[in-house]
Amino acid sequence: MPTADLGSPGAAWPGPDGVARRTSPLTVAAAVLPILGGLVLFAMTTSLQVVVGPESSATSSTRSSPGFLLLPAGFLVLTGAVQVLRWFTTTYSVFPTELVVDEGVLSREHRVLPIARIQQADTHQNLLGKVLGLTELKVDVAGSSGSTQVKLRLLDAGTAVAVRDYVLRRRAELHAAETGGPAGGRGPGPSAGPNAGADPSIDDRIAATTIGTTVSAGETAVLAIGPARLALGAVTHSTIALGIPVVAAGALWFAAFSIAQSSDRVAGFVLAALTIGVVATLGLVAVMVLTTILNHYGFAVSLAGEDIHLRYGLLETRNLTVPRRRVQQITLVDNPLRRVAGLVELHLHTAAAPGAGETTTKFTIPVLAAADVDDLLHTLMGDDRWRVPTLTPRSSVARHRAVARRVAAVLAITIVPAIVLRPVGLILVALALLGIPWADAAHRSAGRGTTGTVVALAHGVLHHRVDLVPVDRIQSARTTRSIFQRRVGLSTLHLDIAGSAHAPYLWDLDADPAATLRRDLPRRSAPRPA
Amino acid sequence: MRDAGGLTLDGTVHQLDPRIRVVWAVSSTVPWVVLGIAGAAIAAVTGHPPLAGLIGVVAVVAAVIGVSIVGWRWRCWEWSAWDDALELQHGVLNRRASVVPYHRIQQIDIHRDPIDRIFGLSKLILRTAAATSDATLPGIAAPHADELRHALLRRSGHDDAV
Repeated sequence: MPTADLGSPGAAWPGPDGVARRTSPLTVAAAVLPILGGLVLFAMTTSLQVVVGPESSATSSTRSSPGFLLLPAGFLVLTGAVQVLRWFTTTYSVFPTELVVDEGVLSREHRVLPIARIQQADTHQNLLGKVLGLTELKVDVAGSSGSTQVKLRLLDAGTAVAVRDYVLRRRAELHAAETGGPAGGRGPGPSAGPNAGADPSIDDRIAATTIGTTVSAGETAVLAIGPARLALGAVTHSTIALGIPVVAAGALWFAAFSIAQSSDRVAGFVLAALTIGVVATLGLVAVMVLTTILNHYGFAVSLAGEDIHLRYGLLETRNLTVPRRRVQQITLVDNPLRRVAGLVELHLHTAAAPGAGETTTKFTIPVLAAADVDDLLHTLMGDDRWRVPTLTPRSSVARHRAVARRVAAVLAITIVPAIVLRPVGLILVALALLGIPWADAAHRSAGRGTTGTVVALAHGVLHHRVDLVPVDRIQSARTTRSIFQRRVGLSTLHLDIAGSAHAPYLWDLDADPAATLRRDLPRRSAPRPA
Repeated sequence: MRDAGGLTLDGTVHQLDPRIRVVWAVSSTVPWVVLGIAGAAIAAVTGHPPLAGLIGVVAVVAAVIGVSIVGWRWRCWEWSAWDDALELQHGVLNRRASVVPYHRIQQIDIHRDPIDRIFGLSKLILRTAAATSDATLPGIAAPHADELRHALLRRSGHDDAV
C-alpha cells in the first residue's frame, strides 16, 4: 500500500518549470471505486435474496439473470469514461509567479492564479486517498467572487505537499519583496513567527496533551489536542447546550398533550416524556463524541513563519494553512456547560473565496482551555496586542429589551402546554419568569471592547460568542435601528469583514457610541503611510 | 474640499435624484397590478367572483401603500462623501447607516435597468471584499454616475483590499 505522508515533500515534483502536468491517473480510480463498491454490494445483496428469499420462481429467474446489473454497469462505464476525459483535459502548471490550471471537457477554462494573491493552500486526504496515496490540493485566491478557488483532484501525496509548500514559500517571498519586510515563509529557525513557541507555559501544556502528532521541519508546534480533551469538548458542545432545552421543551409538550388525552395515566406519560428526553440527549451526546473524535483526531496547530497550520482527522486527514495576515476575524464560542468546564472553541476566519460559502473560510480549534486563550492569540497572531479586551457592558435600557425578548420567548414555549393542562397547567406560565435571569446573564455577557488592534463584540448566553476583529481588517461598518430601538435610543452595530457571510454584530448599543464606532472603525483600517 | 472628478469631499449631505421616486413608485406598483389582474382573472374564470374582487382590492391596497411611502423613503435616503469614506443612510422602518472607506473599494459597478434608463438614472454599486457591505447608491443621474465612479475609483486602494 502506498504511503501517504502528508508531512514530507514529494521527490516527484521537479519544481516551478511551467510545464503543464496532469493530476495522478489514479484520480479516475478514486472516482470510480466508490461506485464500483456500491455496484458489488448491490449485486451481492440481490444474489443473497435469490438464494434465501421465498420468491416465486418467475421473480427468482428474473433476479438471477445478469440483466438487472446492466443498468448500474452502464452507469459505471459512463462515469468512468467521463472521469477519464476530465482527468485527460485537466492540467496544472506552476510558474514562479503563477499557478495555471486548464480544465473542462466541452467548455474549456484557463485560470491563472497569481501566487502573490494566494490566501490559502490546503491539502485534504480522505480514506480512499490514504489507500491510493492521493491528496487533494485546494488553493484560494483573494477576490470578491466565488470563482477564486481551484481544487486539484487528485495529486500524489508528495507532489501535493511539494506544490503547496512551494506556493506558500513563493507567496511569502513575493509579499516580502512588495513590502520590504522579511519573507517569513516556511523554513527553519529564524523565519518562524516572532512569538512562536515563546511562551514556555503554553509549551508545557502542549507537551502534556501531545499525542504524537508530528510537524514538518521548520514548523513550531503550538497546540495539540488529545482524544480525551476532544471527547470533553464534544460533551460540552453548543449543540448539547442548545439541545437540552429543545428536548426539554419537546418532552413538556409531549407530556402535556398525552395527559390531556388520558388524564388517568399522568405518571406514565411523565415517565415516558422523561425517558424520551434522556434517551434523545444521550443519543445526541454519543453522536457528537464519535463524530468529533473521528473528524478532529490528532488535532495539531503549528506555526511556520507567517503561516498557521492545522492538521486533523482520522478517516479524512486535513492539512490547512492560514496565513496570519489573512486572518479577518477570530471568534471564541462557549456555552453554560463549557463555562463551567473552563473551555472555549476558537474559529479562525479568513477571506478566501468569499463567494463559496462560509465553510471554506472558517477553521475551528474544537476545544481549548479558556485560560490559555490570550497566550494562544499572542502566539498565533505574533502580536502581544492580540488578546480578549475588557468588555464595556451595554446600558440598562438594553437590559430591559433583553428581558422583554426572553420572557416572550419562554412564554411562547409554555403557553400552549399551560392552556392544554389548565387550570393546573397555568402554573407553567410562571416559567416565563425564567426569562429574567436568562436576560440578566445575556446582558452581563454582552459588550464591546478594544485593545487598539482588535475590536471585540460579545453576546449570547446559551451560545455565547466573542468576535475579535482586527481593526485593520474592517471593510465597512453599519448601524441598523428598528422602530423599537429608535424609541429608546439604541442601535445595532455591524462590522463587515471579507469572506464572512455574517458580519459580527452587537445588539442594542447606545445610539451615540454606536454611531461613533461606525464612523471611526472603518477609517482606522486605512493602511498607514510608510 | 473638491476632488479632481468634481466630487465634493466635505461631507455635504446629498439626496438622491428626485426622479427616483417615480422609479420606486413604478417598481412597487407594477408587480401588484400584474398579480392583481392575473389573480382576479383566474378567480373570475373559475367562477369565484367574490374572490376576484378580494384579490383586486388587496392588490390595489398594496400598490397604494407602496406608492404612498415613496416620498418618505426618498426623504430618509441621504449620502455624503468625505475625504476618506462614503457615508450612506436610508430606511423607513429600519434605519440603516453605513460607512465605506475608499481604500476598501474593490470595484464600482453602474447598473441601469429599463425603468432607470427611461428616467435617465443609474445605480452605483460599490463593492468591497465583504459581501455584507451596504454600499449601493440608487437614483444617481446617469451623467453624474460616471463622474462619481471615476472620482471614487481614484481614491480606492491599490492592493487586494483584504
